[in-house]
Amino acid sequence: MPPRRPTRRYTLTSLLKEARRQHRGWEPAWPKAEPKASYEIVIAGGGGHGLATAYYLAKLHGIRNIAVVEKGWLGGGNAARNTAIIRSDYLRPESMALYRLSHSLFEHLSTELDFNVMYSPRGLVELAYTRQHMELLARTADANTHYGIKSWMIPPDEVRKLLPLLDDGPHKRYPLFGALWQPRGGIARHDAVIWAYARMAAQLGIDIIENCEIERIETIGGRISGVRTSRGTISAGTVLVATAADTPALLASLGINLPIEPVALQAFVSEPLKPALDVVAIAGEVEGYISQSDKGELVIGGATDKAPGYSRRGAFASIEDTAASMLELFPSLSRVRMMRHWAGTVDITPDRSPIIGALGLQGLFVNCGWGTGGFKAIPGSGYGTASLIAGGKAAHVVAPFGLDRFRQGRLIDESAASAVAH
Amino acid sequence: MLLITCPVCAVTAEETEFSCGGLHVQPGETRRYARGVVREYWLCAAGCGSWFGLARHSVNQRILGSWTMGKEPPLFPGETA
Amino acid sequence: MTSSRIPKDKDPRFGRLIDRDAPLAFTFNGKKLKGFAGDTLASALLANGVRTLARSVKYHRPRGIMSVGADDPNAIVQTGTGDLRTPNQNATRIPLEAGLAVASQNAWPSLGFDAGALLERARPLMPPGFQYKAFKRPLKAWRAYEKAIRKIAGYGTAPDKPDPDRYEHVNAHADVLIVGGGIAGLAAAEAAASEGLKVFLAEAAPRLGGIADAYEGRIDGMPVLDWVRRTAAKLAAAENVHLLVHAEVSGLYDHGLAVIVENVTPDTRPEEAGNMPRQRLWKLRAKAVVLATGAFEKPLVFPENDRPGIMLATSARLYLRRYGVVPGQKIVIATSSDEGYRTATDLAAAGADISRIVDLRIAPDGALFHMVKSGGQSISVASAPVSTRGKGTRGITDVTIANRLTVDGPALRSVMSCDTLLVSGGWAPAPMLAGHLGARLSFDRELGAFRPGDVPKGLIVAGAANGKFDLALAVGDGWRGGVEAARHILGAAAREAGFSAAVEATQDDPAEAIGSLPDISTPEERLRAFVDVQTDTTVGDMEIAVREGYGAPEHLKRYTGLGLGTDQGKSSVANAAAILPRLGGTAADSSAHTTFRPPWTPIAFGAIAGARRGPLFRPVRTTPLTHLFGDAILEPLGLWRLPAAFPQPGETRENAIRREVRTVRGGIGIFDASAGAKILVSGTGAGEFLDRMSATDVGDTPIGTSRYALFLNEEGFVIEDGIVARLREDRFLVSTGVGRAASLSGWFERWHQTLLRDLDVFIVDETERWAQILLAGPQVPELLSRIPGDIDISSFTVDSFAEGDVNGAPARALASRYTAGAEVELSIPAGNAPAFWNFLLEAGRDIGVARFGMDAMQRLRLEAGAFDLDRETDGTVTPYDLGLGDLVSSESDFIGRSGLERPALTRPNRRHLVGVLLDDKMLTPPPGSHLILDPEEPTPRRVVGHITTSGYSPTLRRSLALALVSAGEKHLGDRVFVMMTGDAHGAEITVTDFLGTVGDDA
Repeated sequence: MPPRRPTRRYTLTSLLKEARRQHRGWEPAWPKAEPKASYEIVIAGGGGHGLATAYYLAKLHGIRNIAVVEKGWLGGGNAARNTAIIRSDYLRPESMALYRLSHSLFEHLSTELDFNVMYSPRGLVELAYTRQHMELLARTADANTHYGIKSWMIPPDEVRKLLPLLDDGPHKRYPLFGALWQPRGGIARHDAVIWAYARMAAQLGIDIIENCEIERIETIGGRISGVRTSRGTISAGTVLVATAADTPALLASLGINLPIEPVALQAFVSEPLKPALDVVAIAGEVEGYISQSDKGELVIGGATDKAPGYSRRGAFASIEDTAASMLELFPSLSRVRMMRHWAGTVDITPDRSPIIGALGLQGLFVNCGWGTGGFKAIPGSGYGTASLIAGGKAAHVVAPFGLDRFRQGRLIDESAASAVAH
Repeated sequence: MLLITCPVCAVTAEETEFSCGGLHVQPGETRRYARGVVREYWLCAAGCGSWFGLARHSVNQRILGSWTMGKEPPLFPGETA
Repeated sequence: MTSSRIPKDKDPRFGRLIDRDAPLAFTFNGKKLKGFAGDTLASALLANGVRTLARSVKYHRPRGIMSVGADDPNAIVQTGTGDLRTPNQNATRIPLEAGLAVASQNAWPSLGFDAGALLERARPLMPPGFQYKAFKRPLKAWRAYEKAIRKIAGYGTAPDKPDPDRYEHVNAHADVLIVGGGIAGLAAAEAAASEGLKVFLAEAAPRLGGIADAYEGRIDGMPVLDWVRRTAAKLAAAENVHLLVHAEVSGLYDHGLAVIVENVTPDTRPEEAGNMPRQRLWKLRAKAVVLATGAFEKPLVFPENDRPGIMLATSARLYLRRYGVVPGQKIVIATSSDEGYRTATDLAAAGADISRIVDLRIAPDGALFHMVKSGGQSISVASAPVSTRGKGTRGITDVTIANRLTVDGPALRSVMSCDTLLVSGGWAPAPMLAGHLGARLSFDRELGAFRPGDVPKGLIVAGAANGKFDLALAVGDGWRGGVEAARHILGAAAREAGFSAAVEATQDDPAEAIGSLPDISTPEERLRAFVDVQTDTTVGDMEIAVREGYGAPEHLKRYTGLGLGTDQGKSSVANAAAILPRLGGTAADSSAHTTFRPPWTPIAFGAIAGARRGPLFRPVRTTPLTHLFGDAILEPLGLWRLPAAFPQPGETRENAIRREVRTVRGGIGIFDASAGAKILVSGTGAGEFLDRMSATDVGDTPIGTSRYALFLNEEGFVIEDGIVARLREDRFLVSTGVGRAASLSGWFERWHQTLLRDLDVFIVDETERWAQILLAGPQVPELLSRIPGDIDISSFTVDSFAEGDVNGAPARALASRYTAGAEVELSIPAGNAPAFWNFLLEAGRDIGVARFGMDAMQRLRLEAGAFDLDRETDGTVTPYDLGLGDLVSSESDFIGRSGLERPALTRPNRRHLVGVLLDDKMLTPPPGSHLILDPEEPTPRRVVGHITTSGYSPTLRRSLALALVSAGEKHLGDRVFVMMTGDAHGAEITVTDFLGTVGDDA
């Protein structure tokens, strides 16, 4: 029996109505689906990119016979472990196209998905602490301007107004040269983005199957025939693999080698505080970034761990580095306390840009390699990947990110722009 | 936080005193970073300055062994060629 | 009546830790209060009758002290003022100090009248996840809602002044780390130490013994506390034991690392602390870890269970025994364990009125039960609290009790007035540190709590943390932990003796473990029964979350906020796990808990960063000459801070740059190039090695000459440039530009030691040994002729290199070519450099020798069209892009060759380095400006390239720019535009050799 699809809209009226009956009438945001024997498309990985792709396939291309298969709990990978920063101030044209699309989709995501993802375009500063970095950011800002992305350089005085707790002056290790300012940069509630896509995808008829691990991808005569999972075999003519650092292992048996290195990226939050920081601040040279969540926690991250691996425990040394960086910027936070630290395993490519595209075998697609910056790309990545799979027009947005570029040397190098992860 | 012993100078120190140089591969070779035992290049950066080989479990972080350059040991338990 | 301090002579057992002869004055919300030395902030507040300390996060409900320790979810206050202001402190863990200023948080305008409490009225509209359902439309309004939500959320206020305190890090090693100095920890330490092992015991509280003082009983014939004292003294005297108190193990990490935060000095003025740090962060490596972290008493979950005046039963007993504080005068105790009876006995002795003991168990039958019962105490068994009432911040006024067997019926409910309700739902072990190492904890249904499941080798959980709560069991299990740790390290050599001393203690009633969950029938009631008091999460909230599909523990946590408060769910995790299966969420089996993440309790950012503050954040690397540059504008480059320019008094930076450039072009300038690498490569394979490393053929460089060379990465992109000089047949010297000394020698070493091992090469990084002074300008020969020494540079050509003696020291001289003029780079021993630098300035005074900085150097290179690695390359530029294809070897198998031959690196429309001359000669487009074809074009515009370096050339008297432009070589002479502050400016694409092509026609 097919699962009952959620239909209820989230409105003030429905909230009032439910309030009168102790909220007994809400339905599951997404039903727990059992795998069927076959689907038109199987999406491996119930993270942001997989779910968003599923949603846009159904919404824009009318393909609804889709299963999203997640090995653990939905959104339990890097979707749950990032610092939820959204920006589109990228350097290369290919990246600008993708992240601008994504950013513009975020602008309307709460109404589009009928779920408040708490998208907060509060503004984002990227601080320049060396002349070289200043020039790189100026180049980025100017590239953005010509591309139609709103970002520009601001002088130290304006930075100080945005960040009243920032310490700068001649006594500092690094002088503040200025900053790149993206007024629509910001944050969103990362879990909400996952739940919102899952709920709408389920409403459109897509099966979301949790606690189901894909063990291998099956082929017949050079084309994809389905997947073997911990809960049985599912046949499908099309498979999208969107499993981040687990992707290379899944594709290895098909003879496909992905240039991806897994590494722990750590982050931590402070105890909740009253509003102390109104914008997102990123300091590449000092290797740290910080924002304040709506709950009041300072959300802080830095560079990736130094040694690669799949362990999500991370090295305490990275936490030390990042805390020292943060106190170099904001020394008054010294008595504020870290409440929790955690890590995700990020999938880094040689040019710090994702790998999206078809992989030679008919019916096989991949979307991975987001490294340290995948959260902000979720809507655009899903939109473009759905179009790629369905043969739509928006495929051009993801087209430059094919695996082939490494062989050709046609890299989309964002490593300079992602000196720290964000 | 790994505790690593350099097979060249025998110092045992925090991973921050070393530097990981990635997988043990030949130039031009792409190798998958396995979930399990991996062989990596490491540098005794704050110590003797030697590069050496290290076999490490990429999930549970256990270190299986290390060796000086040019003297690779046979497979470790749990390792696939 | 509320809580108060009992008189001194009441009973010598009570008030053990306070010194009534040492009163301490402190303030709470501005009000002057008095406590005693030995008090915690929480006990002092209770002694002063303070009931409400804080407001809850979501509904701003008044909240009071619930516990005596780290699990207290409520007692969160701000301490200190000015630069010592510290938000979100747990009052139970702050030792009272004289003059301490304490303030409530999250309440406005005051704790008593909090405007935020109006939110309580809107509770029905604020179920978990309401924020995802509301505030969506209109889109723009969300920012306004968000602003309001942010103000309401959050607890304390961030300090806004730099922390005057100091923090430090210590590294240590031990065989066994014992976490927790309660009786189990002490027994474990004794057992491990008796094997001769190096033992490190860390206890979070300022004293050892844990909560042993809450119990009667005798170990080894002496009262428990005496045993604690004796054991502690014995351990303290042992050479192989390190006891550390007031030091909390905050996290466990791989390879035996424990992070421990020791509180060293109280939070008073730092000057009073002398040279001591506020906190010390220990990084301890241990071969085995014994977790003797004890247990937390579980609160009871029932409607309105969060009011001030509701406290954990054992905590109340400890407040009495330690600090002489009774929580109230009219007390009801609700318990599902024998702890309620112990507390009742104590409180009765202190003169408090125990109205009733409500026992949730159907048929309690323990010794304590019978003892209290026979004393005439009113007891209701098989009963439970089902509601409370109260008066705002004054807290609880009555509790409704119902018989559990007929809880759904109308009868057998009684309302009892009280000022205090003490609760005990039994104990939940606290082995969460094991979770830091990835251990899954399994839920023990009988215990109603998590127990360590599959823990990694070398990690041993012992005592109450292992579910062994009774005194005898705990001490014995602690000993076992120490023995197991020894066995893990010593193997069979360890002895296997058990704990031998006799233990006498009252056995707790092992009868049915109810857990902490009275039966709650209606949805309304469930919505008022708090599971996580700090995050305002109720049973009803969990139920709603499960209904909406967020039943997996991680989803539940994220959807409701359960366990995400500053207490990290210490008081709620066990109850939540027991409730979840009843709600149809995931079963409380071994896999059903969220990850326990470090730290155990929050730790200060300052402690994490340690000494890495201010000048020690990233120590500045200096050259042998940096100290002479006090008058220069210094800017960071790599690890250094190097002179950008040497402005004279009254001179602007730009004018200084122009003057310095003119000096070099017309006279002589000197430049500190010491921050460049100097790498000596020797051995019979040195030439071949360098041919592999460099894209340029250098192995056949004639002795006594040098070559300019490019170094590529494996992808084929330029990563370094430098000059390779041949000293002898088998000896080469590689020098790079300033700022990049570390990377190239590391790159060489890596290849030499790994894949190019067979070559006979020896690499020495001599960067620190030599100072490098660059002399540039037409007067260079004149100045050099005045330097005593035997290097004859009169015959120098553009590639010359020589070694010899200069000014009485060994030196090297290289005809370098950074500025496209006469130039010699002198290397002299670092120690001789300052004197030699001053000698040069003095010797050249009459010919106008002047220092120049990085900015002028950059301008000089710009004039020559020479690329600068930091500007013209960004890791995606090939030698061909730079117009330096003739430097690429046609034969050798250099690193980067195969990368360089890939299609995308050889296609003709790559960006090439070209010159750009603006029509307006005085206008300088900033680096990073893009070149476009049509300024009128709407976005996204076609962009043909970007400016990499720009500046005014005093030599050519116009501004110049270098740019990377698509197929630039084919577009020389083409028109492009640059946008500057909104205006388009025309420009022409030119060759890069400005000095050779641009006429000085100004």
